Amino acid sequence: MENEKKVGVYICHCGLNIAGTVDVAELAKYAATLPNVVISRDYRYMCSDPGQDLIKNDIKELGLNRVVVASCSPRMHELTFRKACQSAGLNPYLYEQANIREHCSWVHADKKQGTKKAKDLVRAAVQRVCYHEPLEVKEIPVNPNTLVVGGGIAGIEAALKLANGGHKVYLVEKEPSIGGHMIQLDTTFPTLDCSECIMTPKMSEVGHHPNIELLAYSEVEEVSGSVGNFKVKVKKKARYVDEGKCIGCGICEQKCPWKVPSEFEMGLGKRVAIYIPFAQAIPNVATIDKDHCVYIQSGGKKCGACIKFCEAGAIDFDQTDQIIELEVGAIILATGYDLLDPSQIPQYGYGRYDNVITALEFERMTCAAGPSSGKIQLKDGRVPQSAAIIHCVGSRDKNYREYCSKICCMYALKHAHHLREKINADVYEMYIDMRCTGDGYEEFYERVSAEGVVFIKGKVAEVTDRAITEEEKGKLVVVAEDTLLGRLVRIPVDMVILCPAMIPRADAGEVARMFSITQKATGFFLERHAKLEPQVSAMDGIFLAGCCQCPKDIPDSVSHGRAAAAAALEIIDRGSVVTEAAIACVDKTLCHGCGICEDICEFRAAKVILKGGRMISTVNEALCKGCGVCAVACPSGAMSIKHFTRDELSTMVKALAPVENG
Amino acid sequence: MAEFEPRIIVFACNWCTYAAADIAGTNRIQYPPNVRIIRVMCSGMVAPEHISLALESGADGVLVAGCHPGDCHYISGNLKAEERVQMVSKVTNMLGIEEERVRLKWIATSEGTIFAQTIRDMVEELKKLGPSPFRESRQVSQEKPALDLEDILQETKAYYCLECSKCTSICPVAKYDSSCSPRSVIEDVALGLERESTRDKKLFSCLGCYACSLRCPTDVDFPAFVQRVRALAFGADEHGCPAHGGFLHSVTRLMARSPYKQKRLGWLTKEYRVSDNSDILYFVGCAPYFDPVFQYLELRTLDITEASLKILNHLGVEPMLLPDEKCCGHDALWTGDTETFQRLAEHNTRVIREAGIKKIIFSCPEGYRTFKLDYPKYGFKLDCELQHISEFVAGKMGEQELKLKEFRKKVTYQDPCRLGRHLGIYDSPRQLLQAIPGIELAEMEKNREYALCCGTSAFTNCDLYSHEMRVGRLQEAKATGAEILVTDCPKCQIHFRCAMNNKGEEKGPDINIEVMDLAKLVADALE
Repeated sequence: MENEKKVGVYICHCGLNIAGTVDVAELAKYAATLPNVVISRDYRYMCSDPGQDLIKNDIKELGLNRVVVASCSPRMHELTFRKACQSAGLNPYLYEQANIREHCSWVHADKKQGTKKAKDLVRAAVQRVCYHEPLEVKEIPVNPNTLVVGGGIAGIEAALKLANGGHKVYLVEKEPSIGGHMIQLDTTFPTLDCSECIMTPKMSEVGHHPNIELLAYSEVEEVSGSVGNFKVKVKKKARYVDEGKCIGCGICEQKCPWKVPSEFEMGLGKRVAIYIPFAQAIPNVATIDKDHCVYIQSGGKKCGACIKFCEAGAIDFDQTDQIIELEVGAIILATGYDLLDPSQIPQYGYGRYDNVITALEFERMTCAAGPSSGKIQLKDGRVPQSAAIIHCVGSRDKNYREYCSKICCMYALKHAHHLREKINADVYEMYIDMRCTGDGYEEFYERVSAEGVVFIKGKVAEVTDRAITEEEKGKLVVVAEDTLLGRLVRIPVDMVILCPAMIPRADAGEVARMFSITQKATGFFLERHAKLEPQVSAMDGIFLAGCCQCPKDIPDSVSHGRAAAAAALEIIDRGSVVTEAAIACVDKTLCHGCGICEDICEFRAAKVILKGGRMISTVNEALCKGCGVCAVACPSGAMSIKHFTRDELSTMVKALAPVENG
Repeated sequence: MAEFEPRIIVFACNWCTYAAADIAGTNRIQYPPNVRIIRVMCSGMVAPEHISLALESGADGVLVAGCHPGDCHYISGNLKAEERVQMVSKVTNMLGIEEERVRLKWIATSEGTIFAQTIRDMVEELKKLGPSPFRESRQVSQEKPALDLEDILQETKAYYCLECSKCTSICPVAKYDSSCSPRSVIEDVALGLERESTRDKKLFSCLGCYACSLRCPTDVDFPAFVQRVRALAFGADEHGCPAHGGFLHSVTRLMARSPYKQKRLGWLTKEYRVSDNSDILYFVGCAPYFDPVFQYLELRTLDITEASLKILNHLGVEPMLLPDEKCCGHDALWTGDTETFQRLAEHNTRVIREAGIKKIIFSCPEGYRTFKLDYPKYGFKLDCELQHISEFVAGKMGEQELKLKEFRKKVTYQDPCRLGRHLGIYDSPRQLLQAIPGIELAEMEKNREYALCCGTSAFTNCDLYSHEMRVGRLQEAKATGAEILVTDCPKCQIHFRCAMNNKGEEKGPDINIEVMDLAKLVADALE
């Protein structure tokens, strides 16, 4: 008969490892009595070549269509025996292993009990193997191109690694230039090397790289497909400047009369309506800010200075947003972070007091290329005599963000150093705990401590301009408890620098939805495994780099970016993705299309579609991992997991739960 | 006598606990041989019915073990497992099963010693509890029912079938699933094709709604015929496809065989007056058991129970509630499991008789039908009056006035098959509805004896066609312009809500309408 099950059972002695506690001859004799078993043997080492040959010969000569080996853990040799079956022409999934070593002979001393348990395990395996169906793995070819979203340091690193490896990369950046937060920094801790100096060569390499297609001033609009074959729509926003013609000479900037606060300078300086955000911008082309361009706002009736003065003839007010369609095999998200707006914490006076500024504003202030040419100054131009740096502004605070933003202690030390070095100001670090855990970080802390910076362990309660002593007049007073001394302190200073929490991008939720990935409770993107796969999202083929996953310093962002590139390379260089064989499948007659599976699947493998006039769930074989969460949730029983069907597991339960059997 | 050795089933996640057990082996950490490990890829793969099936099959304890939170190989499968084990525990606790028998634990790969210790601890605990009573009472193998095809044909008058196929043309299942036909099912049986008849999955699609019998010119009792053939099929280990993984059926089987004292009245508060001396029994039915299972539909079936008690109290009735009543057995009977049905019927009739009950009031039409028609048929006789709550209240309306607030809503009414066509009760629910001032009752196109079924019966073969039936019925309800679809069967409510449950990104046709139980509507209107 076609469907007749012919099971071969092979009991391994594993030397004395199994045979010492399990009566293997008795077990083989028992197995021979089980329904559907046509041959039952025991052998010293089943995993050895002669052991495997026993299986292969029996498959050929006895026409076995199911095989059970009772031996070690399937985590050890399942693959070995599956391959043996396969080489004899039997589908490798028609195999089942009973673990009578790790789960039996090694953990029980009594031979009678051991043999009894082994019989149960073999019986269950024999019953279950009859339910196994032949399964196939599928190979899906991979498009070798990669999309990197975000041109900060993590995205740049990822893009360069892939491009240097010979692969095409599309780098999408929503701002007019790449560079991210890092290019805004003055120096980097703990080495104090100039951020621009180490960043700009990387940016320029990106700009010139033959394998990188830079899509700056662009945003991803739509993502479809799955690992190996994503389709992405990118909106290239109109710059009103022809990127091919503009040579970045900057004449337009000199002529444009319409001034607005510069985003790059954190509002400390101005730019004009047509602008190159900073001198080393990549691409080095001008962009017209249409909201502030009088020519555009007046419908072409007023101004037009840039048109007149641009010698390259690059100004093009007819430009419109363009949609570019990309096909890529992998995606790296390096969308970065935002900083918490400290005005949300009114007691610190940000936005109310002129000289309460954020650390990033201070970066621009100390930067030689910045709006004050590196001069540290108060709003009125005076040089501050003293400054307080407040740590954990919104970090480590259940009212705002519970987590530690990781980098603030270190850059706060850096700022303290500059305040001491450049203007010899009195500096107070107001901290909860000093967290200086990177390479050379503790040493830097020691160094700055030795420079005469005052460290006060205590969370600042408020910053006020209400003086109660003569000394406090005209100053900002920082109120805190010095917890080490156990007393309240009021420190009058000229300048207060806030270290705000690093938070997920404002549009992180939208981005997560677009790319079908998940956010953590913090709002940052969820990695597949916090320790082992921090650069992998739950969605196959989509990787994470940099601070979009959680706050990181520069070295960590660089490593993370490169790790993401390596993960993308893994699938690109393999050329194909192999699907799991034991995955979910939908019974078309039972499915109602309720979408519970779609909702519960972490991998976005299940999706309800409208097909033939009805709603039905489908499983993307490239994405399904075979975890079975959907099958349990499915109310009608339409969803099942191959190799772990309800019948298979029920059979195991029914074989193993009753005591008197065997 | 040898010491009792408990049997423990462990569902072990491949990535952590299974590996931990491997490590225990590699390190030769000894633990008692009472445990049988079933390898799953993720603890989230373990379904409630696997746990209940293990208990049913006589396991003394069940352990679901997975990765620590945050470590799941599949991101959150372990957390899903936790929710499910909690759900199962709610149900097993209600059944009275000791909570130590079902456990969940996170055991990481490196924790071989913890795995071994967990097993030792469980063995100790279970030894103290003693053997599971289900070891003895489990369903070993189905005895083939004494009936054969011949008897079934005789008993249900199926011999008289003229093959006119009026049944097929009115059958709500056949309307959507053209492969279904009552006539041809009878034909197969008449031809003596027992194997074909019992193996036919469509046998389990029949809703037992009695639409066919209404039209049959020769009075063939097709639903009774199906009930009987299913018993044959069940004996041959043939089943339909159970919805909700068969957990509800498994719970019924556990309940039928359980010697435990149930804790099914945990929801009962002082707000409701009940009396142990009353000779009127209010039959609670499965509502307490449904609630944990149907939480995902945001449905609380106990609302119906509480509403019914509120109405009875309002009418001055303080009924008795039996903490030891069991499932009526409706679903067991309609899925062919006559053994389970008979155990339940025997138990219920015995405890009701012992309590000296003279009248039983039901909210659930299935319970009512089963007590009224099936118990006597199987020889379980009760000397009491049986009434649906709507009948009881309608009957009282003549003598006592219900004080009802105005409720200005347009509603429509779904006749549950069991109440309508099975028992002929069409008027009392409508009387009750219309007693509420302000209610406007808009009848659906098909109403009373022509009413369409809610689409699923006995939680079996809940397939695409079943869904289409529900969608069709909901569209009919919406077409009346009603704001509320009133029914008085908890299962109608479950099935309608399920049909409206569109969670995916794509959405089906707009069939959303508020569904409410009649008792709830009346109770809410009480002053």
